[in-house]
Amino acid sequence: MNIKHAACAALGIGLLASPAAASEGETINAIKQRGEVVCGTSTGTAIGLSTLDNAGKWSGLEVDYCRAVAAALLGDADKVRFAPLEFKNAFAALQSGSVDLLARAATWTYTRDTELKFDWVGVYMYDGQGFLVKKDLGVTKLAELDGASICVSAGTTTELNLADYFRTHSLGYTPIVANSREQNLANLEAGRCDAYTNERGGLAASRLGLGQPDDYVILPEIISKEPLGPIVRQNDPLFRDVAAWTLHALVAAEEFGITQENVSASAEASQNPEIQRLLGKTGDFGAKLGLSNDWAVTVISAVGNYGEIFERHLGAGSPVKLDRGLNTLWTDGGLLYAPPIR
Amino acid sequence: MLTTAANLMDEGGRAGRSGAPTPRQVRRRRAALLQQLVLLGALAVVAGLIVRNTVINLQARGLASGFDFLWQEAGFNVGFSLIQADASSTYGRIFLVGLLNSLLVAAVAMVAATLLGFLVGLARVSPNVPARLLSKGYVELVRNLPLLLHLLLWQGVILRSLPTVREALGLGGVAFLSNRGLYLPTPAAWSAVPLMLLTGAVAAAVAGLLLARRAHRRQELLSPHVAASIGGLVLALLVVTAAAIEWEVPTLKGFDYRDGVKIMPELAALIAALTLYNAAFVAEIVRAGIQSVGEGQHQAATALGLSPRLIMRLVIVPQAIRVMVPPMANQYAHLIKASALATVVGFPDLVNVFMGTALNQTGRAVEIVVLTAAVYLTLTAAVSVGTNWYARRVKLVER
Repeated sequence: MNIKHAACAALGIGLLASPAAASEGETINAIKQRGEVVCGTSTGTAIGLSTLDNAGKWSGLEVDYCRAVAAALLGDADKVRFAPLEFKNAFAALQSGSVDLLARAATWTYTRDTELKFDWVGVYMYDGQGFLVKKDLGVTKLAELDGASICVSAGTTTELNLADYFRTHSLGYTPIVANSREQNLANLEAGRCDAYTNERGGLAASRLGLGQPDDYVILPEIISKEPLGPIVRQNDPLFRDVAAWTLHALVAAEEFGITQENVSASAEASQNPEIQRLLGKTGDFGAKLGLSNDWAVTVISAVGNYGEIFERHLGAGSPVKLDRGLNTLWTDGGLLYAPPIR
Repeated sequence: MLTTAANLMDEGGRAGRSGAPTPRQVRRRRAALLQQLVLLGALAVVAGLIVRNTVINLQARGLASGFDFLWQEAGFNVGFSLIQADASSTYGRIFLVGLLNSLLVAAVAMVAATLLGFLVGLARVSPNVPARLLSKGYVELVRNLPLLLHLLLWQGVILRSLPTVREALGLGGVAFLSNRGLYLPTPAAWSAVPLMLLTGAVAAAVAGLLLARRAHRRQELLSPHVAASIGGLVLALLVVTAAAIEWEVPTLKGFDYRDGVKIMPELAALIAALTLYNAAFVAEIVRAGIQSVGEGQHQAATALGLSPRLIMRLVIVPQAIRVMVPPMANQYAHLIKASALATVVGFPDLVNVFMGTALNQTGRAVEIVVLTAAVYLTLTAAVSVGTNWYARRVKLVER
């Protein structure tokens, strides 16, 4: 062994010796350096939430939320890159830092919040778990699925809820576990399983992708609460606040009647002090988050308010035609409630 | 000077007066030992730094670590398991379920691939032209498609071409085939009479084998009448046993066939793909082994008047096995690792259930991956040790 070998070995050991240190604010710094937000979404077939079309364009409720965050942070809703993730790999991708933000229909649970060191910044859809069955099975109630084969996605809360519900009600079943929505739907259509369980919003959207959507029916029972929201890592409180207040701004805009069309006009002309603070006409609320004062104007002119986003992708303006249900404002009997802009 | 062993050992130096190492050789050996120790030390330092780095990073991100999750309740059901497990089982038990499933797949596929590969390999070198062409076509086609493609093809074929469970194909009314599985009858209860008959059949078979061995020792073959009568007796006893047992026939109740045993289509697809793919490689190994035996052996055996079948069985194949053992060990190790592709078809093996679902639910990526890797390392090392032992046993001892 000569000097050259020894020097190379020492250099290699030295490089490995320095551990990577995690510092506060690293997500926002990384985003600003990169110039775009990396958003983890579904593999592109979650109709209404995140879909990829033939031209390579992403659309959906989760996609619009990610674009809103990019608009708030970087001033341009198009400065966002979508990373399609299978559910199994989604949490690991966020933990490792390969995505900044996860908007992937992941249910907010105690274990995920505490053990995985994630934070849900809010809820963009209040959903519940249901079952999709073929009409000609003649099943009208969940109790009639005793002994059935049920398709479910691997590693999700739906898998756990299914086991818990059937155990407490002394019903038997065989799980057919697949890695993706497409595989589950293929299994359901081929008759490999009798029912498919997922969040009801997802079921309504997935049903459209089947060959004969009218041959299938969603059973009335809802067996769990599935609050879906965007997820960030716990090590960047400022990024967490930006993501949270982007979501609140979308809901607040619907509360105040601000739409994509009238946002600039409202920013100029509105006399409502809360609207003035939100849209940056008075005060310096943007600076508290490290954003420009008119960040909310950029966001709303890019994607619209929450109601517009919902109607565009999941409601009357889309093929899914999902009822808003709990996803309406608190003033209309729903659960959407933005904290005051003060 | 005579070329002695001591001379040959010395690489460049001259042998000492009595064959003892010269001072120069001693110095060179000490230098080599020092270099090896330094290299080992450097590797140990690198490994230690990697571990330290990982632990520091995990703590900095606040991620939980440790193996205590193995005693937590898993909360999900597994679609196929050889031992008792349900949603209240611990993650440790789920690990065992996945491990046993992987072992089952690997064992069945290894045996099937070896048998099929052997037959195809023999066909490759046979004088029969159609057999040669067919086996060549099979090997070339199967080898050049990726294993993933095989798996997806089998899964697609089974899913789409087999009928749904309500319209299952009946096989003699006792077995049923649908895209939800193959349903086979099982014995319901073993009463005294079938047990006695089964013992009788086994005893007759053992007696036949012992007689054959005795004849073999005397360089004779068992007389054809005796062989036929013992074979017939065993077969008759087995048939009567089968008739005497009460069989549990699968019947359609509700959503699926109850009773009997069900073989999942995912399991069938995985085993079929692994078997066919690896059999092609085994066939090539067998062919290479057979062709490596010298032409002289073949000629000498022919001169002795042996028939081609006897030549293959008694002369060629025993010598070919020596050459085949190391590549076969390689193929077995590959098969064990390839069984991890069960994730693609949705069969609940170790990687799918433990490194997929359990990892996602607990978030303990490092521990789970380390455990899974340790399992595969142990399995392939065991195969390696086993084949090394066998290779030493059949090795040519040169004098």
